[in-house]
Amino acid sequence: MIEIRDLHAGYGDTEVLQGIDLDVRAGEVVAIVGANGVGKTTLLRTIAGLIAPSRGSITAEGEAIGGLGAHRVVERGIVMVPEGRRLFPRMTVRRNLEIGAYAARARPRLKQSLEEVYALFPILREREDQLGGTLSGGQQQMCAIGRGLMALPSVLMLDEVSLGLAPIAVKRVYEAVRAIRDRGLTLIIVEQNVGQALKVADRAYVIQGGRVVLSGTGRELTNNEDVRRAYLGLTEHA
Amino acid sequence: MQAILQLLVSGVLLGGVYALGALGLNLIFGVAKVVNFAHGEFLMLGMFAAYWLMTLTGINPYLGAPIIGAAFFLVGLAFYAGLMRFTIYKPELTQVFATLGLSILLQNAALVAWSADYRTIQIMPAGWESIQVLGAYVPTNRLVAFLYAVAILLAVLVFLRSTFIGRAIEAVSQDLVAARLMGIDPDRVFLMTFGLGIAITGVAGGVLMPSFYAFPSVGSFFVLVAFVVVVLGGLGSIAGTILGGLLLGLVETGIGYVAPDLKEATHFVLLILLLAVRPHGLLGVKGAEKETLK
Ligand SMILES: Nc1ncnc2c1ncn2[C@@H]1O[C@H](COP(=O)(O)OP(=O)(O)OP(=O)(O)O)[C@@H](O)[C@H]1O
Ligand SMILES: [Mg+2]
Repeated sequence: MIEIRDLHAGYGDTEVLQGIDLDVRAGEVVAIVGANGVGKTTLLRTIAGLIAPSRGSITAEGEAIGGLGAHRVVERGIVMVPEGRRLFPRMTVRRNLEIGAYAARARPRLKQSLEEVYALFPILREREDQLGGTLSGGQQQMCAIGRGLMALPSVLMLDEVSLGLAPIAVKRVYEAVRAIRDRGLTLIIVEQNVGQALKVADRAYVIQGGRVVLSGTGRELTNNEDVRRAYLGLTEHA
Repeated sequence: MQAILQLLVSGVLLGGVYALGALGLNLIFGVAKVVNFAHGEFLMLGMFAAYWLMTLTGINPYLGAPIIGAAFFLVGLAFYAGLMRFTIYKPELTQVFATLGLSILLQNAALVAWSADYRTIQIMPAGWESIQVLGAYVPTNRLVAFLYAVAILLAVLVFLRSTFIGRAIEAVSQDLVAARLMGIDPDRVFLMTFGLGIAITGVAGGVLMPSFYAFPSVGSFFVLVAFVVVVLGGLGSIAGTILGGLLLGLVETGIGYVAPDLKEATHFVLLILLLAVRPHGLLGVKGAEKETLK
């Protein structure tokens, strides 16, 4: 579905990604794990087309998408839910969701998609006339995921969806993530909460020093000594 | 009592016109975070467009406003595609130089083309220059300009709220990165915003023409008014533009009544006070004055 080869990207002269190789197959959930500031968000932003790669390639279903620009990547069904939710603060929940269906591929199904998102997150229907900026953290995250789904993604990338949320909200959000996975969507998940991510992931990649240093199934990584020491020691109880 | 009614009527009429004159400036700022220092010159060009339309074809600007609007929409597209596109993600100073340079260029081009003469046009037939409403004196030119202002402000609000491209414009103004992740092409949004903003500004100049003299440097007066309206009402806020226009119209009319000599100073004093006390304006988003795309 997505193939990444020798990907280099960063900001100005700082190269954050220094040769990433990664594959995502249709229907699987892939987690990307790594320390703070290692470049997980940068990787998702580069796949999403917000950052142009300085070297290497990203292909989606055989077609090169590196450097295409975000709006063209969305049209190919690759959609990112950004870190920090980034709802449009002065639009209502409903408007936020509707703008999610801006892409030409998604517009004709807007009404139906909206109903599906409301079915997944009933609270959003209750809050549909409230401004995005006034929701609680958990509701904002649901709205952000819902907005991503409105674009009818075939690949959905989730960046730190549990960050800063109360445990009960984390639980709700991950129930939704599982429901989305069960519909057959391909997911790429970036999480601080490594334990949580490895539990839902089919496979995971560990990034360090701008490269993939380890990869395997969720179970393999959960049982890996290095991973346990580096990432799970702190988050095992979460 | 009569005097107060008169002041209110005059203030509101003037305020509506001021709001219309500032809308394009605020729309472009709100979306592309560009302060267009050539805004006054586009108003000036709108006034001259109305003048020549009337002089050469006999079509008065009240009827010809859609023609002026369409022509200035294209001017706005050219303004973006030919100049602003290259400055959009650059530091603010680049945009200041680009628009200030254009302002000087347009002023001087107008001077060469049309001389420094003051020009005006007469539309209302004799005897209809003003009407009486509840004893208040209402200049008909101002009234028509005011009605245009109301209609255009409403049309823009409806456009932004109910069309996909309008909502995309709104989305970009609130969060450019999130908008791009929705599949919105920011370049297209900026292009449309400049087209729309300059179209509104051209029409504003056109419908102002019968109540103000046109001359090549008239834009320097209007741009100051527009800055005050925008900073008063709120950076990037359309509701704020309306509020700012009305407030300035009322304040200016009131001061003009009690102390006519100070009328001209109102703009400067208000602008300086506002920038010191509340730089994002009454209805603007806090911090809006510092926003850039860079
Ligand atoms: N807009 C930017 N301009 C310059 N440098 C940036 C920018 N965004 C991030 N960086 C730098 O790039 C590096 C990778 O950042 P990135 O956000 O991709 O890491 P991350 O793995 O997502 O971290 P976190 O766990 O904190 O979310 C960091 O050193 C960061 O300081
Ligand atoms: Mg991150």
